[in-house]
Amino acid sequence: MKTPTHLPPGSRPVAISSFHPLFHDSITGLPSAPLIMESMRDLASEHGKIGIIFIDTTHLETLEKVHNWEWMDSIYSQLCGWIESLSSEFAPLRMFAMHRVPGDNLILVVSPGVKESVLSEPELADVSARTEEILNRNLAEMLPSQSFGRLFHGYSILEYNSNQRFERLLARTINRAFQNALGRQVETDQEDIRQLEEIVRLQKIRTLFQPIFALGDHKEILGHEALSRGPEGTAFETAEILFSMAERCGMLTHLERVCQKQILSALETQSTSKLLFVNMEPSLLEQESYLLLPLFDGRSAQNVVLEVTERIAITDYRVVARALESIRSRGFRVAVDDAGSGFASLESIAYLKPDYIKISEKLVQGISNDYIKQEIVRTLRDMAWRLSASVIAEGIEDEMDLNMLIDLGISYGQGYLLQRPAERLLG
Amino acid sequence: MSVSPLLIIDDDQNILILVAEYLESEGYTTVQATNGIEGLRQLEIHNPQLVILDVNMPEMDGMQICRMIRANEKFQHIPVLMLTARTDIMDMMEARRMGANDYLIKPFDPQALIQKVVRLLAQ
Repeated sequence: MKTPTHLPPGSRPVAISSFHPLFHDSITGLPSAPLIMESMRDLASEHGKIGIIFIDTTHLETLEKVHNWEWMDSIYSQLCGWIESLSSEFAPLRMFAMHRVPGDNLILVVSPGVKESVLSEPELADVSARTEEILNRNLAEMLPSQSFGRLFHGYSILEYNSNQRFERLLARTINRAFQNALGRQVETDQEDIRQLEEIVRLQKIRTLFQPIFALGDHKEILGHEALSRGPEGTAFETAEILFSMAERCGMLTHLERVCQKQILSALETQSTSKLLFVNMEPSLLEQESYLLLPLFDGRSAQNVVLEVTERIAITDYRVVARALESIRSRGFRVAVDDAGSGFASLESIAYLKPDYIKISEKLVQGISNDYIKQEIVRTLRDMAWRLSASVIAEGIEDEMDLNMLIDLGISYGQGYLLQRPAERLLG
Repeated sequence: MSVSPLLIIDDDQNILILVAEYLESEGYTTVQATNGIEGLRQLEIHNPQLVILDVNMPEMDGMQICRMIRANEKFQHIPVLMLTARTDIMDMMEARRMGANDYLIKPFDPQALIQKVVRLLAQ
């Protein structure tokens, strides 16, 4: 655990002055509001006003889903480090951070550093905007190139009034700052919606194909996975971001339709006798309208494998299993994607009766020296056998991992080590 | 589309080579595996028209592999020919019970092997 470094300078010792998990966020080391209440009260009564900046981290939620919470914790801890080094930037103003709920949005307190000086709103607005800008810039550098994350700032001034309970004043100021951040987020969302609409309207989706091989010496091709990408160099480039944005904006069906049209038109110029794996947004399967999508309009289904992520198994797998049953009766095959990534139980995967089980890259990467990952993959392999399903390992990037997968009896695989996604089909 | 191969699973490399040679001289193609895990992997990849399976192997033995083949909808129809070094009648009955279609006692005459393969494939 870190020692508290974010206490305001000259803060008066309160009941618990040393680092305590009840009053400090164990992830970031930030103090809670009650712990520094007295210091804030002193600052507010001395200067008449203090500023509250709300750093809204809601947008990072998608990243946490894609990665995991441990990864997210390290991002938060990193954010706090940056804020700490930022505070000197705004001298003579003083800035320190606290948490409301551990491991979530950050709250910064700004006060004049010089006696009898007063904080102005333009000053606070500037500090707030610059803080957001620097944090976002640092964040963009640190995140893997294909992901994105954005923070939103909001601010409000607390005007001290001895007639009012300070705690209430503070709570209301934090709420105003939060509303302010929310407003900014709504504006950005509207911009995202505009961009998404343009992508859908102009069909700015590229389709790449990544081959899936039989593992071993011969590298025979089982099929290709079709991957949809948004415009290069934009936040929408990766499928995860693209689709999660579309879901938030209620444009999922539109986007899916365009992606499928692009896949089918890419296949018009090149034919393959091998399987074609196509990803399908699970939430669409819960609506009857999925049958109106281009993929289902009577084309040959024989070589098409529909990939659904194992995450669907945790919603209502009976509804999904029914939809998959009807899809299968049309001649399609079904693959469960991201298996073993921790969302669904093996039992619920089994209920989906997949023809293929695709092992999550989270299990594949580093499997060569991770006994637990090996055990999970063995279990998935044995379950697949009992279901008469075939196993495909995803995200193979390392020779040692590849050899371990072969030793574990995994038949098929895909990944950068074998072949990067490309516009043309192989074989 | 090429004809699917015959799969030979035996931990003894020499037997593997010899059996493959006999079969290939008769015009069959073969794939080979030296253990059960690899055998099931090759089964998945090549979907062979027949499996020749050694009973005595470390870790996963022939009986176990045969039972697994019979339990999998995709492969349960594939004929299995068991190779055993033992003349134990109980062993042969066990092989039958596990779903083997026929068996051959080692050491065997190459002609007997070919005859059994031809008969199993004709069924």
